[in-house]
Amino acid sequence: MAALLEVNNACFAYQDKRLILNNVSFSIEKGDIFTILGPNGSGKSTLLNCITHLYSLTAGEILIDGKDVNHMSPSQIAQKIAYLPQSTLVTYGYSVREFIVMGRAPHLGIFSKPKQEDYMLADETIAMMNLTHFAHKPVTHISGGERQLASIARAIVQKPELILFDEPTSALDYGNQMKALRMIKRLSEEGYAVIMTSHNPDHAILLGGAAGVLSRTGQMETGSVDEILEQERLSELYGTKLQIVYVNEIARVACLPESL
Amino acid sequence: MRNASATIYCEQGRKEAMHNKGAIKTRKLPQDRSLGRIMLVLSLGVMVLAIAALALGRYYVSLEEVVRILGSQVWPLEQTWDQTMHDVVMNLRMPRVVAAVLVGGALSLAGATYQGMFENPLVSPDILGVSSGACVGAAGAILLGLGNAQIQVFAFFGGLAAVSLTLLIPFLMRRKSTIALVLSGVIVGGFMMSILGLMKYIADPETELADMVYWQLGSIAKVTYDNLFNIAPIIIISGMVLIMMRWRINILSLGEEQARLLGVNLQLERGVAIICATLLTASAVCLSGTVGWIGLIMPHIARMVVGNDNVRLLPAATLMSAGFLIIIDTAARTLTGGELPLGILTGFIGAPFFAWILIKQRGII
Repeated sequence: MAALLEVNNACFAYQDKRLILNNVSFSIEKGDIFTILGPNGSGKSTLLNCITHLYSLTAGEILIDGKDVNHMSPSQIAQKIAYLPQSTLVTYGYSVREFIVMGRAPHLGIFSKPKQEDYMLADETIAMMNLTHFAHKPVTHISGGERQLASIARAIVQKPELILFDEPTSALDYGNQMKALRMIKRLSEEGYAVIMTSHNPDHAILLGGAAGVLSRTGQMETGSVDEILEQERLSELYGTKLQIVYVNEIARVACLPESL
Repeated sequence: MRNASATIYCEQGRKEAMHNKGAIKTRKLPQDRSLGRIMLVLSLGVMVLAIAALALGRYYVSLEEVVRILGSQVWPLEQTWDQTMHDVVMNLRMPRVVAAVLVGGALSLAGATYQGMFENPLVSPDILGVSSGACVGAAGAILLGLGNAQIQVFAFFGGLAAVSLTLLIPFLMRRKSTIALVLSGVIVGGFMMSILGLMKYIADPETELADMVYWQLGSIAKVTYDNLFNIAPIIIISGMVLIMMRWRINILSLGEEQARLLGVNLQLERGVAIICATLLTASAVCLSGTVGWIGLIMPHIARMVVGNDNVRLLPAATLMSAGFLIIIDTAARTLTGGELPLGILTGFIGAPFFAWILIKQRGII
């Protein structure tokens, strides 16, 4: 049986011909968590954009349930994959509820609008995620953390099998970062496959599962978090001395910088 | 087992959801209920304004006689009115009222669609150059000494030709982005204005130039039933298509990337919206000349009443704008002894209104 997502020898270059992704390969099954680490400009977001077919690969292939993404319509892709970009800018003040029900778009035709069951699904998700207190506020007038939660709710309403998070913690304070990571972990426990990009190797350790380390040359090494997060590899990747240490007080390994 | 509706984030949330589920099942959605009520009130408002407009003018016909004359078109009623009253109501004022409804509705619907699609509330229906192209078409017909019907045909195809040119530039650039399309619209609009300037320069100042200027200021004084029969089907069909895809315009308003990630076939859906909005604008302009501000301000007024959701906004803006243009056209023919151009009146109302919006929203601009 085909994997939920298969990336085979993916290569991508922008118009300047510099190779951003260089023979990247990995696969994802339902319920997997896969964290992509890498320095700024290493192509983490580009890889997610290729998976959702916002960008087309220059070589290689991406298969969703065995189907080449090049031969899938935008709605077929969106029925399988939800993507939460780093920031969601909205011009008009739709209510959070209206914003969340937009997640039903891949399942509706050009001349359709959401039906009662679509609004019911949105209302259930709002209640289950405890968003009721701001569900009727304009999406333009809520905090960054609340908008992140609303975007996650919209992704759930989309009913995908794989959710992509592009640096979901980058604009959040420490408390909200942990909340977002807990939410991602829980989504994976519910059966969603999750791919997340991050600048913080400790987030990969907290989430567990598998990780990919994307270097500036566009090559990606993959493996379980325990295997792949070695201090030499990370120190070289980020150009700074890092230590992977076991911290007795919290009973887990953590990734810490040696000094400034 | 993965199931979004079964995703349990906390026990409290789950209970609340189960409670809401039962509550929602038994009643109509609030947005549908309020939409129905708002549409009913606005439709009645447009009808009342239309009847009042048929009564008002230099030759006053009482409201009762107007209603009886209209009723006599459907039912056999005892004739209490004279032939002059009938001619004034049915032959002079009725085509203008119908034209006001069509032009007002079309411009506002096109404006609201473009504002949603281009993620910019300051966009007017002319963003892709349709009005400036129509002006060039009409000016060309005036220079050739053609009649009113031919001026309308030239204006219609001038508008379509300008938009085709606007669409051609991004195609040659091999760019499908909104910004390429909008920039192309600016280029074509500017180019059309230069052609229009040249036409005005070579036009006879006593006759042709005056006709061009008057046409550009907008009027529905010369509209006939024949014009309406030709143009109304285009407006009604294009308008219906946009009304049917109004929820999809919500998705398009999230931006290209978000729309694609939500499964929108951008080329197809944006293409359908652009074709319909262009046909609406070109049809409106060929009936009335250029009537500024309506396509820009009426969606804003509608937004204040029904909110940003295009499911409610598009029909509300259409009806409100239809009513507004009935008022403006009635004022245009009753305020003075002559006929005031519509563009002057909409400008006098539109500009201060926009200034008021800017002052009101100073915190976020």
